[in-house]
Amino acid sequence: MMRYWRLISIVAVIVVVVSTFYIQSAVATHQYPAFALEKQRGDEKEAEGVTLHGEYAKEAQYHSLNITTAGSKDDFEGTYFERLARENAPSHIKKLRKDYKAFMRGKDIDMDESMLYDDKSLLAYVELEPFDELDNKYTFDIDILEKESKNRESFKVTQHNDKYSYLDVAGVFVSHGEVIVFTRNYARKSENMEIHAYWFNIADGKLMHEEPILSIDEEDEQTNANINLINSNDGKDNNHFVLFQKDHYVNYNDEQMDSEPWETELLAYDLERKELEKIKLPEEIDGITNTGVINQSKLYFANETEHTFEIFSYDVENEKMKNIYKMKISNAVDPIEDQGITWNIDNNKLYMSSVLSDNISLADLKIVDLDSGDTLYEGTVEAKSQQSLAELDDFIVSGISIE
Amino acid sequence: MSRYLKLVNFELSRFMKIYLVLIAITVISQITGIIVKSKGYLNEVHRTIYGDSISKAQYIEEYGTITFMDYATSSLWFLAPIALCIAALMFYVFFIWYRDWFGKNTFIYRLLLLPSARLNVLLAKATTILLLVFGLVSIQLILLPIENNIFKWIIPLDFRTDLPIHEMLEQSHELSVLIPRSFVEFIIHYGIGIMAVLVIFTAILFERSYRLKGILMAILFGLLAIVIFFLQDFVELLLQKNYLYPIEHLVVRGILGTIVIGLSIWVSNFLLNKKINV
Repeated sequence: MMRYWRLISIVAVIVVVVSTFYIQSAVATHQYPAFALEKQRGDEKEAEGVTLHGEYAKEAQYHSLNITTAGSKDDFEGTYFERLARENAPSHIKKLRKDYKAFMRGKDIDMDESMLYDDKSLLAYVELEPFDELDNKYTFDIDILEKESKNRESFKVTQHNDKYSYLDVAGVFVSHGEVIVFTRNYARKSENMEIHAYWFNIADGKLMHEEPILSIDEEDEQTNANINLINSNDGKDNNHFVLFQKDHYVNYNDEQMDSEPWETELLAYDLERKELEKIKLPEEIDGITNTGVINQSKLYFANETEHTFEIFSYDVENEKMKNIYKMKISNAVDPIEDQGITWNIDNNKLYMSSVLSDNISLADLKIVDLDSGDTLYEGTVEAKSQQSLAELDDFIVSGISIE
Repeated sequence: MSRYLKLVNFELSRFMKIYLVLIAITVISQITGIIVKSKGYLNEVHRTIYGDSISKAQYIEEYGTITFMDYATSSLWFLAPIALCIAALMFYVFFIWYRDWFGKNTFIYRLLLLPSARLNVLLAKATTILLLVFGLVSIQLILLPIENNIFKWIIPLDFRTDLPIHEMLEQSHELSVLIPRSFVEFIIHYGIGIMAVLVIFTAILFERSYRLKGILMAILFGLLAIVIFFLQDFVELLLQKNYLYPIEHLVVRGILGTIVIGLSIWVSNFLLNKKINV
């Protein structure tokens, strides 16, 4: 036995040291700050299914955090396999991957969800196959799943065109048995970009109709523009219109572009009438960018000033803007500078959250019924221990999602 | 089994002197480094505080606090011995075989004529490399808290931010490869390491069996191992689609790695028994 002393001592040191280290770090990983959404007033039920997405800094590292009434989940927590399964995808994508594993396989939407359409009854995914430069053809690869029956419909449609050098999918919608795909088509010979709409019939897998609906022309050198599709495809929008935002920028010189657009146009495309309308925003909320929320065929905008927070709704059909909610920003819930109020609207309810600077709670959540104006719920994000709160250097609420 | 253990013990003792020197260099360099660097930092602080006549609080506000890892990952005192150990062991992966042929007396005769399976010689050598690596990792794990305490003695509390060891490791890319944050990753990292060592061993045996021609065969075998291990990535690259979910990726990778390890051992066994030239 003594002959093996080298072997035995090396193995002993390795086993003791490595296992001690990993046992210690396994115990320590349970020490991430814990928070939960706690009711102050109103009906607890309203806050169920609400997730506040936030980010916090601790010891110079940023972590993202999801907070619900049940508690908080840190992106850093969990075993290796849990972290692996969590990936980088947003939670609704992960849920789709779990529920429709076969359909979601090979669909690369972690960073960009514009190729996916998701509503109560079906999922649609449209991918453009790599552009075939030799034959000037591009192929739409369309995949549709009926959620209930698990019926899967796949077809490909190839188009010839030598006008464009590159296409990408800007958005996918399904309406009345047709898949409508919006693409950005980049011109071959100029800097022009067009937004095109393609209608595909699901029943026979044929392209029914195609038309350019919006374009950025090669403007003079002093200006530049950008078009974004701002509908969100988070599974609840049941809209018959698609919203585009066209930002115009001023070029100061060849390289530099102004970071803020000098003009923003909002355009709504009606999927049923196949018409594009320009949305005329009233003076007082002009200049708001990227704040539109669409829910149940209504468009919502927020306007935040130093002392007030207002929500406007816009009806595309009769082109009317209505101020539907106004709140005074009191000192007690003084939002930290530059962060403002994060908000979302679902089912005619307004969800608002802001980071608090009172050093007691981290953030608040308020749910308001937009019909009656009644506050349904008021709550705060509370740290499970005072230590958790003290350890945080910074906290921001980045979004609110409602299940 | 006892033959194998004897061989491992024997191989360990052959490297023990160099190994202890490596450990000594690491301990001395890292501990000297933490003292020199911390003192240097304190001197710098004093100079700034007296030179610019600012208060301690102002200094901290302006320059912030430091962590142990700030020192460690930016200092050659700390990183150079780690690099030296890695280089020495990588060299020894080859030397562990070639010394038996080119040593004072061709020792490989005796090894291969031992009345036990020849594969034991290979497995013992692989185990030795693995134990040497884990030994150095353990030494580093013992050293880190000691160094952290020295750091704490020298730098006053106001000027430093303390982190638990495992969090410090996560912040350093270099160290988190050697000491990953979870045990599963530890197994994965070093599993890949064992696989690489076995493939190199097989390549060496190819060279020893067929000499010049063997070098070509060794290179081909290495390429084959790479192709097998990264098969799923090649397929996905070709199809331009990520068909597998992350967990499935890991499982397939595990299976492919096991195939490479199995193939290496099988080919090595064949070469050792049938082709090796002494």
